[in-house]
Amino acid sequence: MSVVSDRVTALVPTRWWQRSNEILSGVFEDDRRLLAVCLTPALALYVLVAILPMLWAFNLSLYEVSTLNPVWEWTGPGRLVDILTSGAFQAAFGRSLIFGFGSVAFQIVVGVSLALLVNREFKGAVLARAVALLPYMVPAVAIGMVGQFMLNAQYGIINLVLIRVGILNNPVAFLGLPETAMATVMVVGSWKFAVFVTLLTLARLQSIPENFYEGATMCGANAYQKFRDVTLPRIKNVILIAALLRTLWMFNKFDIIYIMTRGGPGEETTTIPLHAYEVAFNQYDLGQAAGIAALMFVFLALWSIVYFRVARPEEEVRVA
Amino acid sequence: MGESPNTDGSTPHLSRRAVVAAAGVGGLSTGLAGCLGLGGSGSSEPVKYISNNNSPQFKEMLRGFAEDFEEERDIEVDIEFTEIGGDYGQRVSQLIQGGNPPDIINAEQFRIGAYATQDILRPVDDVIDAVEEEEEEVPEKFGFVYDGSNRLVPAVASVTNNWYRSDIYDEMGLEPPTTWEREREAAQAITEADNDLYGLGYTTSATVYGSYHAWTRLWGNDAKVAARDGDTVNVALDSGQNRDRVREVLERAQQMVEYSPTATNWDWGEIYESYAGGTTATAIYSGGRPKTQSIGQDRPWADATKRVSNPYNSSNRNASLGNSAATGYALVQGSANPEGAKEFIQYMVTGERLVEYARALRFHNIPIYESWYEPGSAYRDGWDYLNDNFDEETIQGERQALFSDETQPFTAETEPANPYASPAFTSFQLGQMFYDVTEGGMNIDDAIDEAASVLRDNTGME
Repeated sequence: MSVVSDRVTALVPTRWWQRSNEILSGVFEDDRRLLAVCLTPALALYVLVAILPMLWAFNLSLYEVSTLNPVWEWTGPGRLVDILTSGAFQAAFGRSLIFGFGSVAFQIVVGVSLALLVNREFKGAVLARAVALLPYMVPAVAIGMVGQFMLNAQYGIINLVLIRVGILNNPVAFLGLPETAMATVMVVGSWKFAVFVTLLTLARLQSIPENFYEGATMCGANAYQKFRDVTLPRIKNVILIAALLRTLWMFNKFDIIYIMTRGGPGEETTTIPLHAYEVAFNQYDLGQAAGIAALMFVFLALWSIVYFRVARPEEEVRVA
Repeated sequence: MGESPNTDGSTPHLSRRAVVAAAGVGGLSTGLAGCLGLGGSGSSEPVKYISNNNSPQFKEMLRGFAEDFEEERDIEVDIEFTEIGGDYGQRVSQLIQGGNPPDIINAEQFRIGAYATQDILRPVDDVIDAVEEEEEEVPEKFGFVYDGSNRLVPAVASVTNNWYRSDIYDEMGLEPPTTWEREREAAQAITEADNDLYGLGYTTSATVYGSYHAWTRLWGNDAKVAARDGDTVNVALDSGQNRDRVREVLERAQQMVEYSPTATNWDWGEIYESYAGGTTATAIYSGGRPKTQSIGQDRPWADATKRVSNPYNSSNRNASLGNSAATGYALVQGSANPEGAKEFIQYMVTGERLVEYARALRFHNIPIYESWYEPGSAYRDGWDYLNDNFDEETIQGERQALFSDETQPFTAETEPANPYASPAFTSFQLGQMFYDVTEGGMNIDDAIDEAASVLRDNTGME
């Protein structure tokens, strides 16, 4: 390698080599220039794939545009007010809140419980941790499809089992009844993401020194008291971060709901993303759909501010 | 025709410019190609066809058509296959918005109005003339006229069939479900019998099938969704006597769901699967899937699966016997090779290609030419699948229903055809109205008002 390297170096003119060294040294010695060099590719990509489409969508929301016709007709920001005050949008927004907060509550309970479980030391603990994290690797599409099959009232295994064990007398269309559809979608859509909470919580749990628990034991604390006084204070900020972050992500969830219910029965599971999709592709109104998406973005941006102000994620990862 | 004029407030954006540019480039290419003596279409651009038939069998068949066509006419055809349903609409709109519209799209009679009202479809009268020269007259009911010109080249059609299990009906001494009364009696008797069967799948969902089912049920009592007043198309659901008829249908829906599994989120797949899977004894369907699936799954009741038309309220015999809907091809404005596209459509819907295509549909979709139903026709002759699985009564029953004046496409509620039937259909508001009064707990009159209001807001109807 060194021979090859020497030969390549020999081929490069000395002046050019010196000049390159000077430039690189200049970059590495100047923090601002180093920052610019490191960030520019990522920023360019971010602008291209995130900022520009976002601006395009915001612009689109101010026009009357049919999905099937490339002519844009100016309507102005009044259109956003119309959307905001429409019953369909408000109902979908309400359902998004229920889906978002409900899903996150489920994910926190399951995720934290799972983290506490696999944090214990037992034979096969490493394997158990690996297995517990597996669902996070399953695509949401697969989860939605399998969930739909399993919950089917006619041939789904869940109904079959519940009838066999005597919990149900007749099959229940979990995804077809207004009373059960939203809760079912929340549960199916959440078990995968509960693992995300497990990941965060487990990492934090494993950083708690063992002697804290030993001290608590010596003071006569029982298991609950150890959890309340040692574990919880140390994982509560992680739980808060996970809760706020997952709410952000669940609020704009589309795939799992679309696959499982397409927003039904009726409109019982039509959240904001599905409402935008329906307006774009069933009502052929791309401009209004962009307006709905823009309003959703505004809500999520506000929620992000709450996330950064309340959870202060930077403190959680700060190295002392 | 084509792109809207640059009227007040209308902004020709990049995407529009791209369409115009594409059209310009297409025109320029056409001119240059003519000078250079290129293929019959006069354009060097391949014909771009977005197909919604994406099963392996259809892909192979359509690619074969394209290869033969290319060899014969020296016009290249580029076919992109996309899933039928929402994905198809998304892909078409992506290409249109991106300024790269396809030459050919698949379209159903109920969906084509949405494209036509946006002025994105080219007239196809010359294609239909050419097809008629080669085949026979294309029945008017299978076309779609907008702004004085045909916009759809029909290939095949389907008709409302109420499939029922004659083995069960005969065993229980029930009459075929031709009327509301017979349908209810049978559904009740079958559901209450100890046979693990529901009488029917009565769908009340905001889905494509839910829209179809709801509209068909409304027609069973001569209730209309739309009415025309000169150039204006009005929502008729909540008007006068029609409202009373809609109310009767919804009252009946409240009764009939008692004899059905919960079908509040069912789409086409669930309705035929519930029948072929042995959960329901009756299924209303556009086409033959409940029977063809029963045949495909080798069910004992496949042979006993018989058809009648849409059940009607016998106290209102003006009721329609259901929907007849053609499906075929349309040409998109601004595409690169419209002349080549016309030739390719004509090639696909004539001669042995159409026979092969129609047979591949397994008598789910059926021919649009009456003579094809005669024993010994090129379509039927030697086709074992049809001869082995369908009795003459079923074949001729579908033919009669399809060509009868008592079945019409949903667009035919008004004369000229209602172009807003398409957004009314895909808004799913009719299915939603049925859901609201059954599972949703809404008062019938409120549900009618709500559906009418949403249709007025979203479809272009007044």
